[in-house]
Amino acid sequence: MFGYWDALYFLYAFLIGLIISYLLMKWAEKVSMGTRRTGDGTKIYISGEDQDKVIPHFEHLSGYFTGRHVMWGLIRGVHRMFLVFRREHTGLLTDYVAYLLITIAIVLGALVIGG
Amino acid sequence: MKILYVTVGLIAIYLYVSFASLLWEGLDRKLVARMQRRMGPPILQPFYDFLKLVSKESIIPRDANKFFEIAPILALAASIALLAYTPLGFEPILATKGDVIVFIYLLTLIAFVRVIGAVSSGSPYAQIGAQREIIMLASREVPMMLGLFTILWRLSKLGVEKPFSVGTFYQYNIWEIGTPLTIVGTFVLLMVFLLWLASEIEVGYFNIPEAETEVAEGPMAEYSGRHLALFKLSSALKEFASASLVVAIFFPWGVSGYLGLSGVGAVILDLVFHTLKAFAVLFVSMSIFRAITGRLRITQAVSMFWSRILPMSLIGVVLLVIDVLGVIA
Repeated sequence: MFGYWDALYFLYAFLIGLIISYLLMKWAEKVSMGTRRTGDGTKIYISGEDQDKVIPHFEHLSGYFTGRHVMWGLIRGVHRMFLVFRREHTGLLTDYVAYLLITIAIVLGALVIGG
Repeated sequence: MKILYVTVGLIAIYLYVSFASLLWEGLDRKLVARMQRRMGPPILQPFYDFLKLVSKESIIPRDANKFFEIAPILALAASIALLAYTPLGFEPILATKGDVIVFIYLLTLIAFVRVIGAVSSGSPYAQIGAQREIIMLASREVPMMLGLFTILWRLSKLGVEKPFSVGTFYQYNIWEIGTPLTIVGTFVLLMVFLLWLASEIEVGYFNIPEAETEVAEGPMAEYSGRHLALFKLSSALKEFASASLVVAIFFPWGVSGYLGLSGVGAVILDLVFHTLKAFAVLFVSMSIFRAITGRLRITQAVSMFWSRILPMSLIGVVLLVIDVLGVIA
């Protein structure tokens, strides 16, 4: 899609952006009241809540809520797929052709998404 | 020669858009305040805010890692690079074959950098905000890109050289095609784009990642001082650039042609006119939307994107496709 020079110009534009924002940051560092590297946080933990465990109003989010459920969902989906295959399996040639097509579809899907 | 043109042009545009976008923030706050029968802050308040934030002390939490401090610089750098690909009443400075794709890539990159900064802050509020930001990002890009590429495809049927470039919008205007199906389809896609714009700048319904009263500004929870100032400037630039895309797609008309101007005068006049159009689009998509809607829950927002806005986009696409294929004469 892009020519060689277009890619280089993109890098150049990004570099200009980096330089401008770095200079802005340095200038701000000079004129500001400095930096304080301490404390548990600025706005939230003033009241002394335990940041590692409980977030107020988000108690249900303790642990790896999303990750765990997505993982179990995937495992359950794959498991159900195999259950369906086993139930419908008749040993005929058409079954094996169908498996082959499904496998090709999945591999192609992965290639399309990945490539 | 081109290097010099790019450098000077980009810096000039950066200065102009910083001014215009911060000015818009002030106008927006004043307008929304008047809609709610408040006095509102002075129009120059965002400039005061920026200078005040720059001069304040930056507090870095103990648990934050290095990315926490780098993220604001990267976000602003990505915003400035975005301006090189933003249509501003004329073709972008770095107009190439595929600048529409670079534009979307950079818009997404800014959101990613915000998320990286938020995750690096070590605050659970920022983590929740970052999760929401990513969920919104994955939902909002689909209808927008579907509509954008369909319009580019429709225009490419008129015989343009570079179908994936922003310059296409200035060669041909989608309304000029003029068939009833195209007009209705484009109007539907305009609605999709206005909703996308509202979610891109996270106002009204879509103010979910930064929900101030709920998760204490989400990704920005731990940011303060100059780091926050850079993020604020970066979001202001992003707002203006996103609105510029909508203006370029749907309202690309310039005024310099009618007045018979050319050269620098034409560029400046078109830039000012484009800024006014961007303000008008932002007024609909940001000020009015912000004043009349409240925040949705994240699940509601996601289902709205996938079950309302995506079908809306599909309807617009199907109308344009029917028009091209000539199924209905």
